[in-house]
Amino acid sequence: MDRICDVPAPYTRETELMIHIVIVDDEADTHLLYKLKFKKLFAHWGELNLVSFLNAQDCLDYLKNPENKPVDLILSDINMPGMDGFELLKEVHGMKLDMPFYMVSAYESSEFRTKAESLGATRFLSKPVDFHRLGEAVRQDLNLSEQ
Amino acid sequence: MDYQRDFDKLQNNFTIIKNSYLDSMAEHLWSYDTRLLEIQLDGLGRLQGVSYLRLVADNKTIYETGKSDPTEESHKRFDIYHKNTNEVLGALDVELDVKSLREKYFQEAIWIFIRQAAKTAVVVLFLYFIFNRILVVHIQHIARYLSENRGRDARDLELKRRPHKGQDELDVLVESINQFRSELLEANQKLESLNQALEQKVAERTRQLTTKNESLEKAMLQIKRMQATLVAQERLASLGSLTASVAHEIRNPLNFVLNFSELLTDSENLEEIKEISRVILKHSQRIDQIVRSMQILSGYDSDVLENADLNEIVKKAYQDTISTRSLGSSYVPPKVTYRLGDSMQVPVYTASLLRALSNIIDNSIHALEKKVRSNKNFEPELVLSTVVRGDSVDIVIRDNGVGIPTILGEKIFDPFLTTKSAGEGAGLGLTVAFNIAQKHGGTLKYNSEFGQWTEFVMSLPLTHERPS
Repeated sequence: MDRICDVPAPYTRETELMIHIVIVDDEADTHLLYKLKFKKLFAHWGELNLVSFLNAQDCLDYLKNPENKPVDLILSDINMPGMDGFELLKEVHGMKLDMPFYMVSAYESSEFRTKAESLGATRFLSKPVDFHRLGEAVRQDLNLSEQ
Repeated sequence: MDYQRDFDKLQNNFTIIKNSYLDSMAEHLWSYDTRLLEIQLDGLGRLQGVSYLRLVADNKTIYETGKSDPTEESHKRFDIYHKNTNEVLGALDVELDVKSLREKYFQEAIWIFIRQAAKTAVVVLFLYFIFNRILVVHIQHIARYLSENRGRDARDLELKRRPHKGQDELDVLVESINQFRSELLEANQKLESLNQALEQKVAERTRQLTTKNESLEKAMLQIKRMQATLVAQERLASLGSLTASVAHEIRNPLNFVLNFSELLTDSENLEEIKEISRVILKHSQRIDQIVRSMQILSGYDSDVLENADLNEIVKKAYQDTISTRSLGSSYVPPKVTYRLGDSMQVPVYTASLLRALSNIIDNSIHALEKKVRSNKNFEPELVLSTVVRGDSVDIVIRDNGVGIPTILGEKIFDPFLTTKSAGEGAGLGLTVAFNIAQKHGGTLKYNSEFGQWTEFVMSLPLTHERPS
């Protein structure tokens, strides 16, 4: 399994507010980018558990595993070898999971945006990612209060 | 037969002479009464058919009349005996006129012949006139009619004959001819109308064809216009899709470059700074590669044609590829085999050609790497050769890597088609190599057995002709 994640923080009272985010992107450097960026964004929101996958199937397997804690947010690329982001979205909805699902694509086309919306994606973000806007969106969608 | 009867009658004279004259003649001869003998002989001489008489007694001709012309059938000699003593008193020579009888019959025969001939001639003439009058005249008339009246407005054939009852052969003939003629005329008319209809049809068809041709030409023009529009649209569309692809390919590394640079500005961790810098460099190079490729594809590059040693270029292309891969700590094959021809100066766009060969070699190494990863005992081979063929030179890049699936075919040259993972290639390498081969007036072809080997052959002309 192509899974890139940091050692999850131990589950304690103090870390009850830990945010669990899953990232799916075939670009390997994505994990490093999100890790560094989110470290800054989430500094005052609590602990962050960031898990990344290089393909959609591995992500699905992770979601299906009951041992894993519930996921708060999924950020997925669209163009990936094998299953693409749209199919992943469909699968996730098929699993009756209703966490926010962000589509992140380098393809800035209205066709993709419309398709993402019709499939029930929460947001459509284009690359290069504007992390300021992404932070705002996460704060809104996960009801994280400004401290 | 008549002749036979007359001949018998003539022969009968001999019997009459023998029976009624010989006895009295013997008496008169005995008494030597010459006067009575003469009277008797005169009378005999006047008998019909007797032509010659001679009485001889004591070897002395006592009486002689007529002409002698003795033949066996016309001559007879009677000996005259004395009635009592049977003493020969003399001899009577009688000749019958058989010749005149014959002549008479011959003449008669001639006459009969002439008469018959005359009669026959008369009859023939008569018959001729009649035949001529009742038949030949009409046949001639028919012949003249047939030879003169060929047109359709000619009247029916009519013979100048006296009105008569019933119908004879001539009437039947005339009727048949008239019927035949009218049928012929009818058939001719039919043929003519058929011909006309045919001509009309042909004319109509020609007209139809002309109209069709015109409409076809119009359609053709429309199609051409449409084609031009389509080509323009296609160009726009391909430009659009190309732009989208290029944008996608650039935005991915740009995402890292932009956001990592932002992180750099307020990072104080030296290790982090170093790591981020490496990532930024890597993705900046990706963008640079894409932009270069696009430049080569669009022809906006500053490369110039110059003579260069092709073998050196091939070697340099391999070394460039290896050093680039080493920089990114990618797989590098343990060895390369060169099978280069004699040193040759070829007009080339050096920088472009280096890039094209590098792209192909990099693909080959990638194919070897894949196989090495899945099979530890695999011995990778990479062979680079140059061969002069006629007025061109082939650069052959052969590897025993994973090969290319047959289904891809010529699609491998399509832009943005890649089998590599994200970040490893934008799918422009072979497109660029193909375009560079074309830019040299050459070709780029490949052969492969999936799972076994791949061979790329770039053919370049030894003398450059400006591509039109």
